[in-house]
Amino acid sequence: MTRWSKVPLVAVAALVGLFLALPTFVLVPLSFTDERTLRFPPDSYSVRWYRNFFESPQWLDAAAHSLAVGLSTAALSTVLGVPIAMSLARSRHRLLPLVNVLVIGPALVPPVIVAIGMFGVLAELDLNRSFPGLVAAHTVLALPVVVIAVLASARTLDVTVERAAASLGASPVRVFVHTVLPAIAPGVVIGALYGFVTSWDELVVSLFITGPTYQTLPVQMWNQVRNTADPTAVAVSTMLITLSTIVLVTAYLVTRARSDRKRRPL
Amino acid sequence: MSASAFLEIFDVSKSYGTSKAVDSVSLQVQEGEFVSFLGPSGSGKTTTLQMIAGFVQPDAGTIRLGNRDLTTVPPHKRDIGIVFQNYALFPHLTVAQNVAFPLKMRRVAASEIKARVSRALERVRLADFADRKPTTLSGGQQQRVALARAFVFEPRVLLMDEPLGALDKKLREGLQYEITEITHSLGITTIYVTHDQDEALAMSDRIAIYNDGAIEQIGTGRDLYEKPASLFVATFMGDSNVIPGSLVGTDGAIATAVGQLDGRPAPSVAGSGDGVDACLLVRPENIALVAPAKGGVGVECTVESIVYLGASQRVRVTVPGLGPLTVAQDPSEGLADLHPGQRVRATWRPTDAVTLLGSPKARDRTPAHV
Repeated sequence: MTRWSKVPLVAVAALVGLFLALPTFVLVPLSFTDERTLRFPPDSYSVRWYRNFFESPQWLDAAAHSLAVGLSTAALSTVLGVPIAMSLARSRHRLLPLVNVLVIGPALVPPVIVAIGMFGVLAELDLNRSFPGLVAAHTVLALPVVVIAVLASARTLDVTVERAAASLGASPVRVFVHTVLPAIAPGVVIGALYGFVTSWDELVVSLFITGPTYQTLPVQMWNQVRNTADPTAVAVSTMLITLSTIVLVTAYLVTRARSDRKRRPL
Repeated sequence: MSASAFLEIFDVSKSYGTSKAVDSVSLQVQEGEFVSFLGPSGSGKTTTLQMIAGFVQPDAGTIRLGNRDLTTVPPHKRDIGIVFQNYALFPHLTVAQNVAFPLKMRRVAASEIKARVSRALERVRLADFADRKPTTLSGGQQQRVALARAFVFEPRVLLMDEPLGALDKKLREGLQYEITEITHSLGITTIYVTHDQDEALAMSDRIAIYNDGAIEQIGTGRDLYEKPASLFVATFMGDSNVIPGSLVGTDGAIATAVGQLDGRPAPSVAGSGDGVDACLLVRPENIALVAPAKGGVGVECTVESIVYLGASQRVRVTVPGLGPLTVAQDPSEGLADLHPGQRVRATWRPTDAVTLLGSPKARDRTPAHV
């Protein structure tokens, strides 16, 4: 390709990027408005809506719930996802395709379907509007993400390395800790991060199974924007975008570190 | 069962589905001995090795090491070192950490680990690479790390599964020497799997020839080459001429298309009677080409082609009614002015010919290299 023939491609890519990023450019300045209404550009700036967030027990509770549910979901889906991914990568059992479908399924079904099903099941168990119920629901959604991330690195594992470790005196647990875990660690880290993010900004399922007594951040924002449209939600959005960016950049850096290691000369 | 055997495999079998990977293999290895498993791929040599290592459970039979029954002991408690074809190093650890791994698993004191690792790395000439990651080393260097890692903890047995298979020929020969030098000086009992007969001959005290899940014959390279017990061993080890026929008596004579020929009978011949399918094995270097008028044990033939190879030359001759034979000779000896189309007589000493049971398959009748 010549220098000039790239111009249309670059232009289209830039436009798409701009279109995707544009809300952020509006959102961030707007979160610092000094006014009560959402008008862009604001006439004066302040951090009052940030202060409002940190002074409101309702917002802080929602954030605390989201954080707790997110971390628990990340932990639970990783603990369940790693062995599932390892079996999918290794075993030849004839029921594995079924396991695969069951695990990956929730990623393919529309969220509202999962939400309705979850609501029914959790109502039966009397777990709606509770921390365990929410973690269970989010883990169902996060599991496919974790399994897919771990599976990608588990498939590259060399069984002879594990056999070598065993012959050198490592018990099965130590074989896993010393050879399998280091090899799949990047996949596990990425899986856990995505698992957290999945829970952190999950709205549809949460709307069904939370209530006034137990809300997550996205649900609180949803209610707020529908009722009062005060700029606190925008300030929260800005903070969420910042957090998500940090998580995704971390994931990117982990991935890059991994491919750098592979690219080293022999 | 001999009392002095160090590693003893007794009547071990393993099937995968309906195919028998290993079929009643028995083997005794002395302490400090270097034994190679040689055979075509799929003949059961690697499966036997994996059963010794404990990665594969035998369906039947026992494996004993120094009077301890290993058959059901898990791999990490067998105290057996193994080197794989693909090195199988830990990519996230440095060379020194790789070699230290088995010592760490055995909770050896840190100061001793350090000393033993540096000794092992010096031994494989990699002391300068201690802090490098394995992926930055060449294939030969990586395999030397794997070797150091496998002997540093002084295992009772060292297993090697085609360790040089991924390396080029020149590197292979250097490493063959290096490996035997190390195993002999450390006195480690070694089982070495290969499909390269030159490698097996160069390295081993004894060689077990595998065929179809069983050991056909075990012995020194010389035994196998000069006194093959079966047609498979005879044709697998080195080049050979196989003349088909049927037994006459039990002294090694067979009736062939060109008359009766004598040979040394293999042990299995003794129990067979007249008329049983048999053949005569004559090595190319044991045949001399002489003028047709001269007598002696042999056959009349016509020179087909002559290939000069420096130290030797290969002459291909055709025997009417029998087919081709290969003759290896010193270019400066034998008939002068040998040329294609010439009528000659191929002769050999009857003691250099071996009579074996069985009839060669079509592909075996053609000499391997001309």
